[in-house]
Amino acid sequence: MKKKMSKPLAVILAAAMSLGLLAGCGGSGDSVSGDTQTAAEESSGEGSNDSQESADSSDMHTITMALIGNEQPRQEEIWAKVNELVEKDLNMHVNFIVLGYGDYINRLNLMLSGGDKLDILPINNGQAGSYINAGQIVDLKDYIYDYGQDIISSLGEDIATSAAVQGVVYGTPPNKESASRAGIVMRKDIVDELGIDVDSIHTYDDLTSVFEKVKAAHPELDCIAGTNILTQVPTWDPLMDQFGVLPNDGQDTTVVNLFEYEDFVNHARLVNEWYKAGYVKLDAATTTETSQNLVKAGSLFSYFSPIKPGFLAQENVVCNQEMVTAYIDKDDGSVSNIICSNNVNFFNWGIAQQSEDKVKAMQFLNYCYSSPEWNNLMNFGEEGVDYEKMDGSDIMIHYPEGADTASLYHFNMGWMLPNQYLGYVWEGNPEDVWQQYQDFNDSATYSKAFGFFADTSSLSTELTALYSVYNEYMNSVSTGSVSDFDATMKDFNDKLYAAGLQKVMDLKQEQLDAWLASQQ
Amino acid sequence: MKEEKVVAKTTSSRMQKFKTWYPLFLMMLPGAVYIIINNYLPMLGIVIAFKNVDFKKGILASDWVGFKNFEFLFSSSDAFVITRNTLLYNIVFIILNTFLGILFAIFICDVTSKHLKKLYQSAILFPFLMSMVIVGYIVFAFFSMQSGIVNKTILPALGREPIFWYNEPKYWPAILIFVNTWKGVGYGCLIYISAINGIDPSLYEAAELDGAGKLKQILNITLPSILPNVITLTLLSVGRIFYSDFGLFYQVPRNSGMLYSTTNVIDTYVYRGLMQQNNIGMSSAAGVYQSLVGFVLVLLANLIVSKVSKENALF
Repeated sequence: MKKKMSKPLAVILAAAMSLGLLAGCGGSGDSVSGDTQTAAEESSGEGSNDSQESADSSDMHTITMALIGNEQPRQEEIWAKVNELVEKDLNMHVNFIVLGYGDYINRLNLMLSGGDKLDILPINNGQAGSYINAGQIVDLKDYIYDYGQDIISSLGEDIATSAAVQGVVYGTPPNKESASRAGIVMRKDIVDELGIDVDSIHTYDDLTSVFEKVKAAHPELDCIAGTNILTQVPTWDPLMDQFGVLPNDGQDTTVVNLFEYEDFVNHARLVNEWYKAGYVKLDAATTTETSQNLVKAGSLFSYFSPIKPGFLAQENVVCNQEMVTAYIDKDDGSVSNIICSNNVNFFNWGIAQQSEDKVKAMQFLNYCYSSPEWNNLMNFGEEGVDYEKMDGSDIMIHYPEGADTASLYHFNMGWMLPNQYLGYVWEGNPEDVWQQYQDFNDSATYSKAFGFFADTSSLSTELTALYSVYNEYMNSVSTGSVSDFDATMKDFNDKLYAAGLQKVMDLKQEQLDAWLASQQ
Repeated sequence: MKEEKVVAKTTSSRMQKFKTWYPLFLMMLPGAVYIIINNYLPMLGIVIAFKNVDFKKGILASDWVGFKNFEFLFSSSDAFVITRNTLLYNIVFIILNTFLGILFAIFICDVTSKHLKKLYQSAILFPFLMSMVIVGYIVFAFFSMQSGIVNKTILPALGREPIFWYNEPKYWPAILIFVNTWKGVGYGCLIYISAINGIDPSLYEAAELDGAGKLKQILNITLPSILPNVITLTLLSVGRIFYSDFGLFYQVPRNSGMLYSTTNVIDTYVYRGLMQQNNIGMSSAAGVYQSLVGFVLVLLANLIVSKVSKENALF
């Protein structure tokens, strides 16, 4: 009897001892947990500050807005100023959450799934379908006509309501350049040294001779890197996810498989030849370093990028040296400048399902599209501290003379903030840059499927398999790093079809036909 | 009448037991509460795997979809590859880490200098504490096609052509197994060292008096004494045989697509496939599948152990 009694005792003792052991093991972790504790205290300190502020304005409605970008020095001060403005103009209070570019999708997913306080969020168009499907965001159609008049007047009704999947308007696009003219960015010192005629570069084929020269003169340099070599100059409308695309600048309305589309395959073959000739960075498919950083480090000659007015000013800074650009166009030399749902609606401002007062959220969003002060404060910070007007200009701004730029607020996400066209223009851009953006958009070719969004969420099993195949091959194909090109492309396509590509293409075709019919 | 008496008796004896042991029950309380809140309540989330979650309706009111969320795990041609990779790698890892862990533990325990013993022990544990991201870069420093030590220095010195490591799947089973062993062996080793230190020294003294050599001592004293630890650790790893070290299979091959045939495992497949889709139903389905198979395997392994030697079984 006694023996039996001691068994639970032994178990409990063992448990207690092993707990003690664990505590002992944690010894080295003490400093870590100490850190997190202080971090928690700090953040709770901030939190209590916030709540105090909102307590002061207790009758005001508080909007929570998520932004994508980098945390800025002085952002608390700037946000306080933003709040002064918003409280005065709208009688509302606003809290911001800044999400990093690397993990914003995961963090937004968590916030939406977890029901955190959130009113306004940036929606990447690739996520829109699943958000709508899961009922995580609001259909703006019900609000925009009553409370979003300024959005409609600044974007035009077509574009303001263009971010729609199966009739659900999930967001409003920021006012930005939307056309996707792209090209190659090269180091100016080497271009000058080798006497390369930049004006003669128009197509992919033109680049071969350029790379040949560079490789001969500078064998230590990689001529090109990046996984966007093939996709940066699209002559197709990707219809969101590249699984089934519209060829010929989106002017054909028959959905085809991109990876068998002539333009794509030809370019892929060319890039493969570049790789074999040693022009492409050998590790291009797996490198996680940005091309700009590689140029900065002196190991790369050129890379593909979208090119827009004022682009070089920004790129010279990032690459830390002078660069030159050349547009890359279609193989026949005609301009490649296509607008499809993807680039207008890459990011859209939507309202989260958990927003407590959707009308107020819409009113706030409307305000963001109409207030120059709001856009300037958010983008560039405080005048006289974070920036000042350039001599003799009312619209051009730059850093104050002699300021320590690292300690200043410079969010610089104009392409994402609702309406940068209302705001100032940063040094290095042309003064009429907003007008140029507008012209740039007007000159573009609109895909026949502009405004169409396929809803493929019913095929999520197939899409998971497709993404898996895509991830397996795409980076290697894009950088040409395959040994047997034709065999690899065949495997790639076989696997895509086995994963259900035809099903996805058929569904897209069906929805597109219905949509086209409804447009007439 | 009789029955009543019995009931009364048992309750009273229960009460008495409780009275005798209540400090211990009190001591158990925080742990039990923790386990219930942290480990048992979240299990209700299993329903998510069988639902098409709609946040407007809430989780409980969302529509049931049966096993539809599970389909993606089995429907594609990758299903076989990822299951094979996960299982084979884990089996090799379990065998190698156990064998080498015990081997190193025995070596280290026989080092007489206290300082050296500490040094070896820490040195072998050090890689275990390293983040997989860092390990991934160390491997990259060796195998980078452009600037890696192997392609730039070692292969030319041997008069061989450079190899496109990150494009060639066939080399990766060896690389991954080596990396995992290098990184993981220290942890098991540490546990075995403490087990060996716990063996009564008089056993060894007696064995020595009887003229048993080192090898005999190891075979007849050390190994049988640490067998329970070996079984516990192995059972734990068998339970996780359907999980894989995400960092090892994602960071170390640098997510290179061409290597998927030998580096894709269930966790990386689920991650890559669902990152773009935000479908929590399918993600939970993958989790449920892995834990269910793991649970069954633990039961099986334990059953086998209890058939072979009853006292060493976990339960």
